[in-house]
Amino acid sequence: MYTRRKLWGIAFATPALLYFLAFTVYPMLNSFYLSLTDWNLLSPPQFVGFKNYASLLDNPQFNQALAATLYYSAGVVVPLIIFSLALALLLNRPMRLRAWYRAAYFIPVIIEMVVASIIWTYVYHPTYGLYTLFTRPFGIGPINWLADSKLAMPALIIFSWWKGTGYYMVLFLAGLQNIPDEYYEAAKIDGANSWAQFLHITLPLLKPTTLFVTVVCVIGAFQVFTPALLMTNGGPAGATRVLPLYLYENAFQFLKMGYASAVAVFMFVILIILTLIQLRVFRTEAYF
Amino acid sequence: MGEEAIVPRKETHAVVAIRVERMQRLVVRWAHQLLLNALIAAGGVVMLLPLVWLMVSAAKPMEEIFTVPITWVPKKFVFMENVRAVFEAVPFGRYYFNSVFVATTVTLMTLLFCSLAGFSFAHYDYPGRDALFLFVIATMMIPFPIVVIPLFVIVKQLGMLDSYSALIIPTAVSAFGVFLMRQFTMTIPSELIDAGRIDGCSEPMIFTRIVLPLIKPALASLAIFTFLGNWGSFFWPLIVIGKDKYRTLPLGLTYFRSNYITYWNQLFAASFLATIPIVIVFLLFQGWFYKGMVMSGFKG
Repeated sequence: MYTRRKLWGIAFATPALLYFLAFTVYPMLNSFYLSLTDWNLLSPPQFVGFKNYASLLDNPQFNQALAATLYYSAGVVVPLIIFSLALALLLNRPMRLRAWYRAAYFIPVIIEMVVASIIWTYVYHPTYGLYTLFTRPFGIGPINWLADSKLAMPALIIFSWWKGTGYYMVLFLAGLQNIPDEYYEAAKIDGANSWAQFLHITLPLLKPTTLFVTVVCVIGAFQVFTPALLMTNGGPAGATRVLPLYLYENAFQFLKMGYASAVAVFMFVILIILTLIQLRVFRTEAYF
Repeated sequence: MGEEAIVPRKETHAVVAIRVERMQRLVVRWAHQLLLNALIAAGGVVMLLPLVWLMVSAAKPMEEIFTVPITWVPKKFVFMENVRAVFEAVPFGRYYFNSVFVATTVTLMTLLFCSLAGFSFAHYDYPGRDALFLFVIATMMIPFPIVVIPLFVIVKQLGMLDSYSALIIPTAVSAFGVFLMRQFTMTIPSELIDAGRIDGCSEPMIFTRIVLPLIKPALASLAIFTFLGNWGSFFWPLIVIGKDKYRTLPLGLTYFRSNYITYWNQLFAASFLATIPIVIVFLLFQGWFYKGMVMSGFKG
């Protein structure tokens, strides 16, 4: 009877496990293998060793894509964490309109990336765009956000602030609600002002949340694809051709599957290194 | 206190001073609240502005899209005309159906497989169980671009390119879902499950009769998440779908955009139609949205 129960247990997990084997683990291993080949999908893959990796590092386009991804990630991750934490702190106190505020900040999160990209292409329209609401009163403009190689990436970054703040705000709000009120009461009795409370109670106890948010945010930033394709198509002059877009172009437009796989593996390695660094910086146990 | 009640109160300077101070503090707090609310509200308006603008623009005739200054109430309200033009230009109803069909199927499959696996990891004991669970969690960290090329190759070799299967099958289970379900199923006391066994329930019956009803909240959250993620999915459909017949809304919108770029008002009408159900569902079920998100990282 007991072993039969065990078998049922295994049976329940089997479909999901097979799924992960087929659609995550196998593809990942296959990525490593393909990165060592030359393959255009038409003839069988040719094993070429580390040639693709060598040509990656030689290729100025790849280096530009890597730089673009790092630029984007840096521009997105740190401000996004600061904004969303500040918002969460503001919205964590009792307030009559709190639910409405929270919803307002969260709505950009649920809008499809494609629709958001379409709207924002129009927001950045040099003469008729929504941004002119904020610049025209000061006599600034017209600004050609998406066609200027210096401004295209900042435009993409600002867009991502808008799109992402609500998501991380909700995560931080949850983290804040996990901090027991007694700590703050005790601190008040000890005469700690709100800044001291923030520094000595909120921040340390929010550490696991911050770690989680940072890791998720960095992984997300490295995967940015849709807005870079739809708003700027990687341009102007490759300024916004981030790694996933570079991978997409090489794999599915130039059919350089081996080379594109090398890009994927390279990206993965960087992400792992970045995640390890974050774990190190926060020096806290994984809690999930 | 008692003394005060008997002796008629005579306001000394000290009492007045305290009163004034209290009033001042109240005013300061009130002003503080007001300022705070104004700040947060202003930020919220800025967040919503692009969406409001989309809605307004979806109802404008073409010439009003490009005007300075921006008009916030369309002078001529032509939303229905724009919608009709969209349906005439592209098979928009088909895109809509595809999106609903694919997202629903993926959601149902995800719910089934993830809750089964979550139940297994939470309540059964077999060798390697925890290692398998850790392995599932580890796959959460793998970004999609890493696996996209081999996934495409698999789908191509199975002859599934340009089909619903391509959109549904590779995405129908999520590691996050398994994790969420496992965490939630763990909160069901094992006594309850044993009681079911004593009453003669088979293991599948325990799952359907005891576990599933108890994890409804988690199922709702996962359903919303999965549906939403799939509804907006773009990268994967872009790669595996070429035919108009199988285009989902995001693909259809980009197609419309590249071919009818001059008709911004129609593009906005189409975008509006693709987005509005999601916004309504969100406004109705806000709690589930936040809950699922919160459970993703903060339980267990």
